[in-house]
Amino acid sequence: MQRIATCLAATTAIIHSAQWYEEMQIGPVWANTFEDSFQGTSRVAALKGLLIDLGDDRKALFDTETLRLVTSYQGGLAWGGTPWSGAHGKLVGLKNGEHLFNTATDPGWADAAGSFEDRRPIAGFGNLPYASYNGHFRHGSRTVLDYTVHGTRILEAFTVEGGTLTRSLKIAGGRSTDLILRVADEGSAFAVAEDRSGAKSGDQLGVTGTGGIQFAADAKNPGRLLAKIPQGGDEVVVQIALARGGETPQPAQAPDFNELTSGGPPLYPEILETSGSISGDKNAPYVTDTIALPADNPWKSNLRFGAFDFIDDDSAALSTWNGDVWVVRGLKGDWQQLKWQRIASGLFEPLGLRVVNGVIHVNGRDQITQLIDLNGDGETDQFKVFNRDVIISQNFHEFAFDLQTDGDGNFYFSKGSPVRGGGRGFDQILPHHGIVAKIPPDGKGFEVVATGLRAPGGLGIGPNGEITTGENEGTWQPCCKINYFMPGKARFLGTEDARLSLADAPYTQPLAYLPMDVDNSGGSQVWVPEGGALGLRGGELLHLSYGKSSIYRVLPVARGETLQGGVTRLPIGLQSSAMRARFHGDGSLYVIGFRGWQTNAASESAFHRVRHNPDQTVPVPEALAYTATGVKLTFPMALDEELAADPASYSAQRWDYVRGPQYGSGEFSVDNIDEQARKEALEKESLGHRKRDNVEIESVSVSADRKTVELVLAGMKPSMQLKVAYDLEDENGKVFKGDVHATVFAD
Amino acid sequence: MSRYLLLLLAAGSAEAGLTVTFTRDGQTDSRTDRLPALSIAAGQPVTPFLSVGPFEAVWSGKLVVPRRQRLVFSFEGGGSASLSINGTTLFSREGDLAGGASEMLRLNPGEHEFTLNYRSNDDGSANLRVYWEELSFPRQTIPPTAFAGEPTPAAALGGRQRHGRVLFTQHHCMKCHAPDAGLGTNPMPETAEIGPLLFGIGDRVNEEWLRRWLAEPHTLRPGTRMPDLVDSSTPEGRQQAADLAAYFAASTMGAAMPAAPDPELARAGGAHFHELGCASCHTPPDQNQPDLDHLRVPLNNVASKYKPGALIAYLKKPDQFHTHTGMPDFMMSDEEAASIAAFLTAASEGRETALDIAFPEGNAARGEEVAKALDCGVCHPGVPLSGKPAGPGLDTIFKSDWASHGCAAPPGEQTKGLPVMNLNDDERDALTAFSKTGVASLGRDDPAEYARRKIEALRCTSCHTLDDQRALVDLVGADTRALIAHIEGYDERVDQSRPHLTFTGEMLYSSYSEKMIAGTAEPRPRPWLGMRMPAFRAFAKPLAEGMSRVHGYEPSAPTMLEPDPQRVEIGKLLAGAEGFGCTTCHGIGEQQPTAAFEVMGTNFSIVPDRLRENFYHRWMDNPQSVTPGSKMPRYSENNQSQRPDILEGDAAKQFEAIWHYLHSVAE
Repeated sequence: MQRIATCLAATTAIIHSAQWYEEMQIGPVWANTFEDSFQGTSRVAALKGLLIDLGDDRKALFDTETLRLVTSYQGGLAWGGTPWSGAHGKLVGLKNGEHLFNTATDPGWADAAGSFEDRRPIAGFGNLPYASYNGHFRHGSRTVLDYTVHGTRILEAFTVEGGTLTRSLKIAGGRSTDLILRVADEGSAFAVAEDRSGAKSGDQLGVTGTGGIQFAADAKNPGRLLAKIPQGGDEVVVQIALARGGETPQPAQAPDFNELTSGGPPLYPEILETSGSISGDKNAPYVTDTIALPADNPWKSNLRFGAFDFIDDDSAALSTWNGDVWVVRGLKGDWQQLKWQRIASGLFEPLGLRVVNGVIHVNGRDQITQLIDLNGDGETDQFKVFNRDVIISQNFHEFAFDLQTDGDGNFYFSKGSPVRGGGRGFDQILPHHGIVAKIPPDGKGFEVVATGLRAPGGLGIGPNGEITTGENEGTWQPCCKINYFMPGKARFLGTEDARLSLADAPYTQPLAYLPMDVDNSGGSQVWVPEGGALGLRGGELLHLSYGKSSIYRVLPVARGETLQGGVTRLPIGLQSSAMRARFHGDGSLYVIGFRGWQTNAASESAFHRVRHNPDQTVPVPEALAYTATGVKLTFPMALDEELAADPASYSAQRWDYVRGPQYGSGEFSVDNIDEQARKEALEKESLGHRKRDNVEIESVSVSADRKTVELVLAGMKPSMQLKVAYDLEDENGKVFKGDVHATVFAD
Repeated sequence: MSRYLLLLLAAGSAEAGLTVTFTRDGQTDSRTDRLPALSIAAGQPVTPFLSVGPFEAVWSGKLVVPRRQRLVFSFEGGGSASLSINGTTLFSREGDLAGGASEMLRLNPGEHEFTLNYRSNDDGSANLRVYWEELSFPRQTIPPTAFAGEPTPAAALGGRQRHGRVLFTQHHCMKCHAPDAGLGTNPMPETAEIGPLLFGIGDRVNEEWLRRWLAEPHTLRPGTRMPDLVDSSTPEGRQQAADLAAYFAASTMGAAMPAAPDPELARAGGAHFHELGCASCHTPPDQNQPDLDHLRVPLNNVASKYKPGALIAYLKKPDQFHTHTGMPDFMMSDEEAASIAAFLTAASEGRETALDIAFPEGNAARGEEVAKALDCGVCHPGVPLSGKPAGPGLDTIFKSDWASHGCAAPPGEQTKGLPVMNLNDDERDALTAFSKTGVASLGRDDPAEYARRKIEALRCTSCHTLDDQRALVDLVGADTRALIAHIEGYDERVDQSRPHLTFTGEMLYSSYSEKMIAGTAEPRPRPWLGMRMPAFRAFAKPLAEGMSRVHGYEPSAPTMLEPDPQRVEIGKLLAGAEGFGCTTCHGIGEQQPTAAFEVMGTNFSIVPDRLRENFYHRWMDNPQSVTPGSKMPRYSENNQSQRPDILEGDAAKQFEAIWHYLHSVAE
């Protein structure tokens, strides 16, 4: 009997109250990093693994880097993984102690010399130089892998009948070399049939081949079974049937690859409806509308949305931290019947999404994937690799953040460094840890345009190609900040452990440092579109704080060829974190966020639309300038002159941080520099050191239009942080107060 | 920093504080105060320098407003109170002080004259807390950090008098100068404290160290209250030291000692030494230069002092022979005690304080006679006494001029044969100031002032930040950091910040503070900390009571809250993953935090046993205002919750719902 998989879900027998992740239907394929047991030893089974549901609690794990089938077994999972169990460092484990077969941690296909030796630039990490993974197709709940070895395209499908797993491989013709793959690694030797069409190990793993595939035991390791597809020839479908014990396994009927790769019936046919709550407040400068999420969905999918983009004015695609992509339609309407479709699942922590020419690109930890609907039912049938050059490790913290494009169509995302559990220090640093990556429009290439990042939760690309990122407090990062630089040369952004190739590059200072009470975890940056929106001018930069669930207006100040400046919080209320935001064509700002790490987000996830009431002034400064004696703030409304001219309406503080190998930084006086304390901060965490200078406001002058105030400070000097607070009234007596946190550089 | 300044810090604040002047029956007493609050039970004096009974108090100083604020003030307590800001009376209240509030007052950033007049209840009891509120924060007591001011001359005098009073007890002066008619029913607690017991000291320490210690205790340990009893500059004095050492070395009980520590354990012991923050009170054991700035107790004489195994026994139970020792009990495991002893011994070997003295051979029999003659037994019970009157009675000495007579007289003016206290000028001045207040204060116990004194004497601020004063260990901890350099991942644990003391008296029920100080709180509230709170058993109850009264709270234990089921449900939702996600960092009973990273929070099941509700709301509204730098997220501003869909977005109501939920999961 042929068993067709349904979905990876509830794979553990549930005796007690199940955790949500045990009940969530992940789908037939799940991309993640997995660990398993190989010959009695726990190991990282696959960094970029695909766990394929074969039905009846049977699974197969495919390593998309080494292109090897790692294991197949019947059984459950040992839950781990930060987005799942919340564990920091513990991977999702496969309970494959009792397995059909396993393979050792080496390439799945031999190189041109016939060797399985791992000759990647960094053994154990990255793609094989002679093979590539192209993605997979979904047909109902069946999966077809698509990869290329030595220039030969291979499609592979799986069938389980009884205890026999059949691997069916459709191999293109005109092969330039023999293709040799590893079938299994056993603890006992294989005996290979004379005609080389089958083999059996001492532990009773039987293997049968069809289509001219030839088996051989490895000469140096008789417990390793190899299979060869000869060079040349026409397109061929070969099969490998594997079963343990009993009689010789019989291959299943070969699948129709054309059918399986042309789109199949949907897995998630239900279209869910929700409504939105639209604010009727006309008095607030900003109102927040909230779209109800289909949290109560048939698949018990945990909807923590971490990225989105508009497909058109009426619909958007959103990805969740747990691997889904959903499309919501009806945005242009009254929001009474918003329609949600789960179009894809099983992606690897996708925290970036960009729609280009109607094609949804999703950035996960393993790759940028194009979601292709082959049959028009809305659901993804082909998960096509756009770029998967990124090298990853098993570290839990090296998230891949965001996905943006520039005017030329290049893609950008940021990548975290492998922070250790506890937040301090790093695991092994690899070449793509802590970077901003740039991918050309065709997906063929991978350029590191910045290194030295620790946890850049998002980025932004400006109208002129400006690159910005957030950053989090931690080792070598004294606090959160906004990085800003123009393209052209690679930049080093501060984390010495992750300097990578930029050994001699100077530290590129940020546009602004942000104290922890302003931002304790940065999200994306977003640029106000040309013509203006949200009561802001076109070309303005907004910074999202994931940790503080806030949106900040960036007030730039020229600094030679780059920028310095500060931020002021916009009066926008959000129910979850501010992770990603994009402007809609109607000028509103859509914002999503979720809660996965430290944030004051008040719900697991939220999808908002922020609108500006056009009759209401945005009550925050719209410009900041530094003078020789202080600062100038420009407000959008005329101020009450008496209060505006009163120095008591303002306060100012300044302080420095110490950037060093310790976690974060204390706050250090600028006016009375304590060299000893700064030196000690390099050797010991200094977070408790809080010496802000209170800066006297010596005088205030008010412009003729009463919109600009110039504050003369008791000494205007460089400081990593300058806080200026104000408490004013407009000419109608309406109180408004707030602050600006800025950075003042010497040059 | 001198001990005098440290005392000022504890009694009020060296950097910021109010002056308070108490008046009773025409007598006045002034001191600095961190905040305007009182909790005086009937029968207790408001200060040690005034008799029991109704009194008046006036706090004055500066209220510091960092930005323009629109403030409303109010009180709680009993008596009568009147608040003035910048010379204008803003709010007055009599009887039950709760209820009502001032008009809103707009204050510009800066310092504002603050005056608070208070009159106690007629029976002399008093209870007062002063509150403020603003659009940006809910009604809460004005925090200590909002006050500033220089001590008035009267408050400075009060500080010196208090310093002298505590020195008088720390030097055990009353052991020689007994009160003629006792101290009454409510004496200053320290008058009952005694010095170390010397029974069997020969089992524990070496004779050679005893010689040096008895000859020059202040050289071995600057700041010790042990007086110079022999004159080591003379042959007679050196002989006395040698004879005393021989006598005490012969005092053995044959007590079983642990085996000498294995030197191989020294590395692990060094790591424990750093981890437990020993450097907050001690200089590193290989350092033979005293730390005169912080008067940390030197450890360079440890190897020469202790007999094999005795140090382990001491570390396991430091108060066994000295109930009132300042060394707390870390309740060390056998491994910790043995390895720390190994480390201290190895590191201090050869680093002892050498005296340029050649001691003659000691004679135990002669030593016993010397001990009797010196009446060592008055401070060290059990040592034979001479039987002679130890000194003039208490009432008598308070009639003399301490500046020129007796033990506190300056060097050269002191009568020969009296113990040499090694007082510095500040201390002599303080003792003299105290002497002029008369003997009565020794018979008066004010629990709040006791707490202020003990916070200083027990060096609580070595480990805990108080107001703007950063914990000493944050400054000196780097001294011993090399000891953990070999431990991989040491810095990769969740945040190791220790709790601040600023609000402790308001935050914790005194019943819980007492358990924390006594070392009996189970489970530990912060089990993730490598540096743990040790036990100060002898002081737990009065210190907990005093800390509570400093903030104007009667000592109290939690009262049963019957959780409202409806609010419990809402609170559960808010605390869980569908709400604020509190359970990410906070466990509930056996349930661990779901994803604590970088920081952990206390287990919810112990919250009701610990926290007072007033403090809970202060904390929930703005955690960073309580503990600067705290990673506890803030979920509201201006009482507007980030969850407008629950309880109309009223943050206070939401936090109250969580409070009910916390009580429903309490163990």
